[in-house]
Amino acid sequence: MCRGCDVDTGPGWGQAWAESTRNEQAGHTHLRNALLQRLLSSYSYSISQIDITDSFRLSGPTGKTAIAHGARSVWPVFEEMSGRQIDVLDPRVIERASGR
Amino acid sequence: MASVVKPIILVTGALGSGKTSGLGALIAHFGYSSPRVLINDVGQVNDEIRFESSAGTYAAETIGGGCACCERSDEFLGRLLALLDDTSSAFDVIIFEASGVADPAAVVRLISEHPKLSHHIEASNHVHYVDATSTEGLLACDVALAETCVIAKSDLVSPGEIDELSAEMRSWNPHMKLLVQDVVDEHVRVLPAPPAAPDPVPAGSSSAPIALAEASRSERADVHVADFSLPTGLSWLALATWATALLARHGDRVLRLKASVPSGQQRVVLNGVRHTLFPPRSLENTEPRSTRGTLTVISTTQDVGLLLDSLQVFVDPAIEATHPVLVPAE
Repeated sequence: MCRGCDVDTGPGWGQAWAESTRNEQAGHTHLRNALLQRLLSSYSYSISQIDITDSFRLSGPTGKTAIAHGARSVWPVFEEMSGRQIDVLDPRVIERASGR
Repeated sequence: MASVVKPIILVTGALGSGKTSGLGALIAHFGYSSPRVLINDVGQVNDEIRFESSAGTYAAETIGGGCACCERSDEFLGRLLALLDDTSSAFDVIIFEASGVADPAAVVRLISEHPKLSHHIEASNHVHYVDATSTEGLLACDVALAETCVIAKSDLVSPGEIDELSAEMRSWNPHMKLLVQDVVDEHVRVLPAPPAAPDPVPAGSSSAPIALAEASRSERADVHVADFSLPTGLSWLALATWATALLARHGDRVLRLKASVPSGQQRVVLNGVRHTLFPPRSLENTEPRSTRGTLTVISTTQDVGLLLDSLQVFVDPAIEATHPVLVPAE
């Protein structure tokens, strides 16, 4: 909920998220988190969700950690930590994530 | 500030392409009755412009002396905030006519990244005007970025030329809405263009993995269009998260991304332009429950194979069962 204007922003950007059932929200969150885990692990990073909030703790290979508030903030936080951008089209990243 | 979301229609097109003269007809075509109109020009403009539609006469506010996507962005955002705070008059849509040189992606980014406007204004449509009599400078990426294109001054060229222009524009953006604008008895009209091929119907069983449905490349411009077919169990939230990563890294070459994902009784629509993914919207699902979803990516580079591999590895629900999921923090 945005405290400035009482709009439910939610982890899924408002309207589509708000109109999902709790079960659907749980399923979406599970699949979204699985994606984050696969993607970050292919950069040797790990990610964990902080309690029931939509915040995440990112841990780098050297033990460095940082908090991302919301899934969309994971990319800039990762970039700040690692000095590089997440690239879902990088063939090496795809290969590592697929376990090939 | 009211806690409702108002649509904004972004109108772009080159100087003299017929944007301002067509505004009244465009508003009538979309069925809005109480628009608030903002017109931006890089030069000095009158404080107020009046225009007519079949539903009435409207006044437009103006922002002159610079482009709203850059040097006059503060004034543009301030005007939008003032419109939302103005409780004296109800309105059902904001029409923003950008200057002829504006970057439409920059305009939508200004709104989507604003801490308040992003919650109250939704970039529901981007209408791009193309002058049928002057197509030499026509840019494929301008057409690819738009949700709707209007071929203006269509009465000044032959039907064959309109067909040729329509076909070329559709090769750059196959799923856009295409309209033609003409003048009859001094009245501007906006009509649907002759129909194109129907949107792709995803084939295959509903749970089959993500697949490439169709890929094409424009002959004249370096624009690639890839249509993917999505399984019914796919999470729109996972796809949207993947899309934000794609656009953050490749928004310089991904012009547009559009998806329709079945989700229970709803279909969730994702819309992305350049680096921006708009808030996903859910619509009533009028398709059979077994109908697969669709994803279209329009880009300036040939990445179809990588896009498919990436979607299959990161988004397809089938792979989730074989990979560990995120664990709670200590």
